[in-house]
Amino acid sequence: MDQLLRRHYDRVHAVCRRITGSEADAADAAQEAMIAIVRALPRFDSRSSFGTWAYRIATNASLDELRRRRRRPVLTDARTMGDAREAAEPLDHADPDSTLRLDAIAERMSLDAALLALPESFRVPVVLRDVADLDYAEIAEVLDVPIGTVKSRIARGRAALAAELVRVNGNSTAPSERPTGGS
Amino acid sequence: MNDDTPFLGAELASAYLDNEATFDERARVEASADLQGLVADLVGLRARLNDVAPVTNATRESAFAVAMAEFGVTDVPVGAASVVASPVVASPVVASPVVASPVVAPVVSLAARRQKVYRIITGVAAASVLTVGGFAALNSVGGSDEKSSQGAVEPANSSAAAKLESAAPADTDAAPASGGNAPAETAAPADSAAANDQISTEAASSADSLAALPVIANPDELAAYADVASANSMPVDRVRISAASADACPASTTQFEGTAAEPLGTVSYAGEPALVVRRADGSVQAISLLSCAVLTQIPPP
Repeated sequence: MDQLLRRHYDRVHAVCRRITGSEADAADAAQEAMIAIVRALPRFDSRSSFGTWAYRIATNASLDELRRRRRRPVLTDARTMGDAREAAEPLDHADPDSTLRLDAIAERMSLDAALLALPESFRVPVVLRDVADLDYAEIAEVLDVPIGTVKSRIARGRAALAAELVRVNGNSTAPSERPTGGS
Repeated sequence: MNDDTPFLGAELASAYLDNEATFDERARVEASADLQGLVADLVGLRARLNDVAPVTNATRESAFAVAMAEFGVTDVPVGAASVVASPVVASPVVASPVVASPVVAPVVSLAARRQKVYRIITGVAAASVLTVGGFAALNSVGGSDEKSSQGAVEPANSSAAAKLESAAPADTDAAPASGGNAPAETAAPADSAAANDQISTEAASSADSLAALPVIANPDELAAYADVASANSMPVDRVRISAASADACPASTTQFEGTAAEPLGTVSYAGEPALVVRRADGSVQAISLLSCAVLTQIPPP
């Protein structure tokens, strides 16, 4: 059991991180997912792969965490600051890496903001595809929607994400804004 | 539709990137420089999405510790989080993923503790049966001496003898260490002594574990406990308490599972370990973990 959880934890955490948009919520959601996996394991029927099943649980745990977050008052503490706290650390401008570090942090924060701006119905399939590496059929199974819907939501989600990144920091290319003659 | 025209290109590129495009769609993408550019952009987007900050060891180990405690494994070392399965109010789960701590604390499964209580109950019950059987046999033997002239004594003696005979093999089975070569007459007392030692040891530890629980004497104290537990407990505690209760007392779980009832913690109520539950209607119940009976109920405010 320990080995099984360890094998999947980092990817489960990454999925939670991208769906919830915060380190603290991702840690909580990933922990809840681990507990849920342990509790539900006797009912796992092997019709889908363990990974698909685990990502379904992680997705649900992340969405639950988001709902809980909306209900509770916003607290600012060390755990919720995340990248912002890191960004607030003084940077040595003589250090050539400091600018790169700052850019990387700003890029991560803008990606979080852009992802959270997406509707859940777009954000979740994009994350399951690009982070969890599930194929369309597996995502359709996780979300309980047809494959065609998955295909459409992923494409629209990616386009919207790229557009949102342009809106947030203006330094990314939006695929949907390119000419798309298709021939 | 005109609105969908630019999107069709994005969908083609997206499907191409994911190896989900048909043969014709692949050909269209590969024939178009614009669509190839779109695919390249999507590759960059995917790379950014995968650029997740690595999870800290403290966060990972904390999650494993809680999950494995749920699985019923005891003595799992915990790096940063001290997870103690004890009453919610007394020791809530402290999961601090970013605060590294060298403290290594054992995780004690609530389920294991509940199973121990049941072992004790089983031991006490077995001892009671043996004691009653022994007294019955002694009384019967004494009775036959005093009232040997009475014809009605004979069936009573037979009954007591039958009880002793049925008790002796049970002892032999219960203590294989005594060996199959020992005569039944000598093995039985040795087994009884061993069983009594075990029972007294377990009874002492049961008393210890009961003493570790918050002592609640009356409904007023229970109401106060419920208020404090509601204010202080964390969701993960409730999950774990619920699971432990399911192992220890299935009947109590079926009473509150699926009804949005919220387990608040375990207490010693009127000298009995009990699960405190707040029901959906706001009422609070103390459910015995020994008999699964509702010991008391406080109506909703």
